[in-house]
Amino acid sequence: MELTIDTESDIPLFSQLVDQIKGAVQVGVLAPDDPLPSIRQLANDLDLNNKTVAKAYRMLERDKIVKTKGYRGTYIHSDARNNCTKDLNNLIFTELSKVIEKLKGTGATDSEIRIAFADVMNNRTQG
Amino acid sequence: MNIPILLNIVILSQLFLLSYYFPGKIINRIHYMLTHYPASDYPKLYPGNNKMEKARKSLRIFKIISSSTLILGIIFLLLANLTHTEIKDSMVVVFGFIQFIPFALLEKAELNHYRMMRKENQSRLRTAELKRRRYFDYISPSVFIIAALTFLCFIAFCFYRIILNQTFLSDGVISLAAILLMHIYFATLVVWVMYGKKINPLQTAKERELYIGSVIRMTVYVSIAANCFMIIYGALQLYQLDLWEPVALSVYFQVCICLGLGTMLRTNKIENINFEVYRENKITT
Repeated sequence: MELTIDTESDIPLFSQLVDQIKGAVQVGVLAPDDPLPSIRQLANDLDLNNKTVAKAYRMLERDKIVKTKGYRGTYIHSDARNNCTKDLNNLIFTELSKVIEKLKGTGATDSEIRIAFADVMNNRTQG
Repeated sequence: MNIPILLNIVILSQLFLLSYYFPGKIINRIHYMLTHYPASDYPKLYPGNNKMEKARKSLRIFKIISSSTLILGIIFLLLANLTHTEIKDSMVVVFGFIQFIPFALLEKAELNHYRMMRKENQSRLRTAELKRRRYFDYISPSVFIIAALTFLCFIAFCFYRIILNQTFLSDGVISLAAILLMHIYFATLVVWVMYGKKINPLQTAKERELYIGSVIRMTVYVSIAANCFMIIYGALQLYQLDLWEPVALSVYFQVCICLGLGTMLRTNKIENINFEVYRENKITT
């Protein structure tokens, strides 16, 4: 299977990688336990920074699409096909909408919610 | 057959292979490309301002130097026979290196050509195969084991020579260092070719696979040849069979060029190259 990256696209490079690998899993081009190229190999082939490919692999690992077996490399997760259908962005949007609606019900303004959200996120990052 | 006659035949064969046969193959290949894939139809194949002229100039230089080494070799052989001069192994080594000069210059020109192609490549699309490259996808493990065994035999032979000479800086140590350096160079080359950046930015995935395979096979074959040669050459020195040394060296050079360049030319046939990617209006990667 061939990956194609558009360096001038508005979609971030790591997202393009994630989307195409997920797509390959969904259509069955990549099966469970199939090996993926090493970060260095893929980064050099696409003339990208190693960190971009590493970030894409981290995202895929978080979503349980791939698994890393130490020095042996990265493989497709045994449950990758099911995990591909889980949309984390959609989940975040839904849950956050519920919280905002609840806060608005108490009388909180948009700016108060924004400030509080920013503070909570900043404290989490600093913590 | 006596050794001087055999040596003449072997050196003539070396002249034929290194200064006529393989240069001829390369000249025909480049000439075919220049004729069938001109800059007017395939502009991306010829980077720079003067397009095809640079390729033609490199070809002319290659032809002149190869022909010169052939003439020089014939004159050298005639003079050696007429004056009854003994052809020593050092002479074969020096002449062998002279014969390799046009190939080295051509390689340098090729690398410069690809560097300019990379500079001019403005494509926003980049592609890569989603397949992990493994060493044994390109070479049979049995061939690799043969190479490893010949290497072990060579090391054992070196230690035998070191023990025999009772000195640390013996011929055994020097040959061991030379072979180790060669293997380090080969290992670096293989890693670079397998995992490094593409030299030719427009090379397709299939062509790259073929190229990697040919480089890996070439390194393993040359490694087997070098290990065997060093054992034979060492044995000739050990048993003071000096007259056979230039014969062995010349045969070694010929085996190296057949296994090295021969493998590369056989695997990377011009008919297998996808020249469509070098057209102007084609969306390439």
